[in-house]
Amino acid sequence: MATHDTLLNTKSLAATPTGLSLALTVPWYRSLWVSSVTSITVSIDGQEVPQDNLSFRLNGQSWPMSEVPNQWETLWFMQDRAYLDMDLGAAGVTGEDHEITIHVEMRLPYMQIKPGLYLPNIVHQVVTLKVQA
Amino acid sequence: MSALKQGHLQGTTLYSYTRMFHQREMTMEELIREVARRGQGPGLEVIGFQSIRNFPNPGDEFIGKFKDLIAELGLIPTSLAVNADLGLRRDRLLTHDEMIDYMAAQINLASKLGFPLARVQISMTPDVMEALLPVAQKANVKLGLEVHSHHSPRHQEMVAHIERYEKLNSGFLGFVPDFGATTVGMPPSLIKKYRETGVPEEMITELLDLWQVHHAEGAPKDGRTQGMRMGQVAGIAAKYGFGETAIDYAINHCGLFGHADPSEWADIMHLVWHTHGKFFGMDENGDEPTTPLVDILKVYADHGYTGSISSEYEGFHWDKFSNPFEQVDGHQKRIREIMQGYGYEVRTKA
Repeated sequence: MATHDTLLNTKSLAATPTGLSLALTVPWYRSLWVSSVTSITVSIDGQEVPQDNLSFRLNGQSWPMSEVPNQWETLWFMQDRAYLDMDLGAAGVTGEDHEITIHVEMRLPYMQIKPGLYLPNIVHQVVTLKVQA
Repeated sequence: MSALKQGHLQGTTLYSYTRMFHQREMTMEELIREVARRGQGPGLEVIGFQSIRNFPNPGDEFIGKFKDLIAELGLIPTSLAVNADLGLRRDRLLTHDEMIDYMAAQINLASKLGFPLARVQISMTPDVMEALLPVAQKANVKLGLEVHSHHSPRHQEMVAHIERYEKLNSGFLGFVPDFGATTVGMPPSLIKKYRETGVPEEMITELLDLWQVHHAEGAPKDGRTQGMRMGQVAGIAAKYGFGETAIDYAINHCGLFGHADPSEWADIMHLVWHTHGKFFGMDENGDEPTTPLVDILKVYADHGYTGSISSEYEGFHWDKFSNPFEQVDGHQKRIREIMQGYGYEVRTKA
């Protein structure tokens, strides 16, 4: 359930000097600790971006994806955007369209189903977005 | 016509407006002003981790501004929803003491903001609730454990809480019924959404049939039954090629639309001060087809309930087109009509 279509909107894709960046809204009805993000995979025009080329940026801090699940002291507030920075080896081009396939797995830290197992929140979206200036 | 008795306090929760907040269409202050302007109060409920930046430590400036706004608009804070993030760390669960501290910070903020009650959720055990009792008493904030689908008053975990609260008899530990625990079907707006997203008719039929099977069996009384039912729903989704999101179908089906009989609320009414009037969407006749308000509110009328009820619109999860403010207007109107029929005038002024 739950507002999955809020993860991305039409303005989410932006160019960076090394590639592209996606602005993400927390896909749940409350703010969650960054440690709630289990994994993110993303493909651009059918090509998966290697995990080592992704980083997760929020309010001036940035982590490689492997470090994201350990960030339990930083809150991803409902109205803040987290940025998934993708190093593609070349600057992104404003105005281009790209098909984005994003798969986000989260766990809800207050909904333990049984010891050690949490209710997951899985978002899978395939959208075509125009690179914003 | 005989004089109407004073009924419950009308209110709403900003949760109803999650979508607008998410999309930065409205700030917390703008939402609260619109709630007041439409007369959807005076009761106001807020989810701490939704609306408040840096929750539960938003700072004195925020606290002052919130209290000034409430006073200006003539609203009455009813419930601050708090969360027990037991699994906040990946390497281990929070210890008992850490959990008490985690909750105490939120309960103390509820007190500072003027909320008489903090809503907690079922991840709290009776032992943790008992350990929090001194915190609640010191803060003068009642703790209301939400009874949300798939749970219901007769689920074995809830029964353990009822027994503990009755034994402690503190006046500070109670429940927040959520009308989604006592539904009579899946919401038409959700089925419509399934159709729009390409779910085949055969799968919809299977889902609806299975819901009726579960309904005939009644609300689950233990976790095993719930797990088995979720597996059944996920199996249907996977069979039709929706394996990637099968868990979502299971969470919707088994987690949102509960099977308990409304009469079960009578078991806990003596421990209820606040209620989630959960609903999923008003129909063209001004009725709510999923939560049987006539039957549910009969229990409230029979009890002479004078606590608060938040109209809590949840259809926004799948319905992007209905206006949530109009939805809450319609829900509150229907509730006032039904309560009037039972001889009560819903309290709409502070």
